Amino acid sequence: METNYIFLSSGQLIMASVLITVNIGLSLILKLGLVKQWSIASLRMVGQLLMVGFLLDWVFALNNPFWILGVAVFMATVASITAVGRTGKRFAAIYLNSFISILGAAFFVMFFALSGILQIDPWYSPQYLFPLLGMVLGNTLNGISLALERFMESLSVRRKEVEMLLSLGATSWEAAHELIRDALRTSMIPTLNSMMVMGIVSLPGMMTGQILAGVSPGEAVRYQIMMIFVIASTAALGATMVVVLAFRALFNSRHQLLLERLRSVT
Amino acid sequence: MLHSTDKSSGRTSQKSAPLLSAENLSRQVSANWIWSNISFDLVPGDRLALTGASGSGKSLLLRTLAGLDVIATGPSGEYGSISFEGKSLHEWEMPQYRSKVCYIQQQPAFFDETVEANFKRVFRLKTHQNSRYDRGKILKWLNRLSLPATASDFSGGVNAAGFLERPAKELSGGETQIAALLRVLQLEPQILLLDEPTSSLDVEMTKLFEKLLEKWQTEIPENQNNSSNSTVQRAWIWVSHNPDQLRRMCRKTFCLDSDNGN
Repeated sequence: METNYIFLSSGQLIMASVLITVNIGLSLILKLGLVKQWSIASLRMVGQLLMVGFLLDWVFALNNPFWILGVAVFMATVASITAVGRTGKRFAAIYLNSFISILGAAFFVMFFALSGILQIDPWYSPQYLFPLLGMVLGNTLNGISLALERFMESLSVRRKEVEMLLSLGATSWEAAHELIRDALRTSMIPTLNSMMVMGIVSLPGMMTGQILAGVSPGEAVRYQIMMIFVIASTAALGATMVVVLAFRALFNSRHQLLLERLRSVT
Repeated sequence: MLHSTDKSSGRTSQKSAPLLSAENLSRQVSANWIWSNISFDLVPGDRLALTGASGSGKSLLLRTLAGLDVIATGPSGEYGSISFEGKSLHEWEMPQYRSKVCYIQQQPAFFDETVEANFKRVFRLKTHQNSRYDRGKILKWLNRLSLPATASDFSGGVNAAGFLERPAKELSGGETQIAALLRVLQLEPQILLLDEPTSSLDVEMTKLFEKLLEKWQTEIPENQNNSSNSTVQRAWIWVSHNPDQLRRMCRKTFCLDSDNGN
C-alpha cells in the first residue's frame, strides 16, 4: 500500500482547483449562464469533502463502536431521505419505509461482507466499513428510489387492472403481484447492466482509487469483484423490502387498494 | 312512477331474508357528502335499478358494496355497514365475498392475452382454486349472444378469429363489456353489481345481453344441491342512464338524488 503513493499538499489542491477556471471561462465566453452555479458547486464540493475527511479522521481516531455506528446510521438516514426525494408520489410512512429498507439491507449484507468475507476484527473497523458503506448506500439508494417510483406510478396507472383482479376475488397480494415484480425488475436492471460491462466500458472508482494508492491492478480487481456482489445484493434486498413495505402501506387487510394515501409532489 | 321510490321503499315487504343489506351508508369525498344514511335490502331474486344524476355517486355506491372502497370512520364509528347473507362485511374474507358479490367495472380491464386466457386466468386465484374453467358454459353463453366462439364457428369460409381467440386488448368497447360479464358469470356470483353494463353495445346486442342475464338469474346455480330451494336466488343492482333498459331489467328503483341525503 505504501509504495508510490503521492500525498497531496494544500498547494497541489489549489493548483487542481485552478482547473475550474476552464468551466467558468467557457461559461463566460459561450454565455452559458453557469458561472454562479459552477462557483457554488465547487465551493460546496470542496467544503463537503473536507468536512467528511475531518469527520472520518475523527471517527477513525475515536475507534468507538457507538460513534462509528452512529455515523453509519446517519449516512443511511441521508441516503433514505434522498431516495424518497427522487419519487413523484408519497405516502405517510414512505420515509420510514425507505430508512428501514436501506438500513436493514445494508446492515445485513455489510455484516456478512465484513465479518464473513473479509473477516475483519472488529467487523465495524472504520477503515473498511465506511468506504464499503458509502458505495453500498449510493447504489441501494438508486435501487430503492427506482423501485418505489415504479411501484407507486404503476399502482396509479394500472389501478383498473388491480381493482379488476380484486373484484374477481384476488387477494391484495395476487392483485399487486405483477406490479411488484415489474417494480423490482426495473430497479435491478441498472445494476445488472453495469455488471455486464464492468471492466470493459467502466473502470470502477474503487478499483482506480486502489490502483492510485499503489495496489496492483490484479489485487484491486479482487476487491472490486467482492464489492460488486455486495452492492448488487444490497440493492436488490433494499428494493424488495421497500416495495413490500409500500405494498403493505397502500393496501389494507380488507384487500382494498388505498390510492388516496398517495400524494403527488410537484 | 318509476323514479318516485324513496329510500324507505327500497326496503322490501317480501318475506325472504335479505341477501345484501346496507345500513346508514354515507360517503364523503373531499369534505362533500356524496350520499348519506343510505339503507336498503336486496333479497334473492331482486332486480334493483340504481338511479341518480351524474355525480350522484352511483359508481361509488357500487364500489362500496363490492368492498373496494373503505367505509370511512367518523367520531361514532364507521359511516354505515354492509352485510351479506346475514354476516357483516367484517366477518367475510374479502376475496370470498367479492366472488359472490361481483362488481363489473364501467370500462373493464383485461390482460394482454386472448379472451379465453383471460377467462382461465381467474381460476388461478386462490379463492377459486376448487373450481375449474368450464369452456362448455362459456360456449353456451356465447351461443346465446350469437357470437362465434372460435374460427370454426364461422360459416361460409369466413376467415376470422372467434371471440375466445381474439386478443382481449383488441376488443371493441361493447365486446369488452360482454367479455367482462362472461368472466364474472363463470364464477357463479349471487349478486351482480352492474355499472352501465351495456353502454357500448348496439341495440341488437343489448337485447341479447339482457336476455342472457334474465335467463342466468332464473337458473338454479349448479352448486345449489338443496332441491327444496328452487326459488330464484340471484340478484342484481343495475346502474344505467337508459330508463327503458331499467324498466325492462329492474323491478325496483333506488334513487340517489338529493332528497336521499340529509
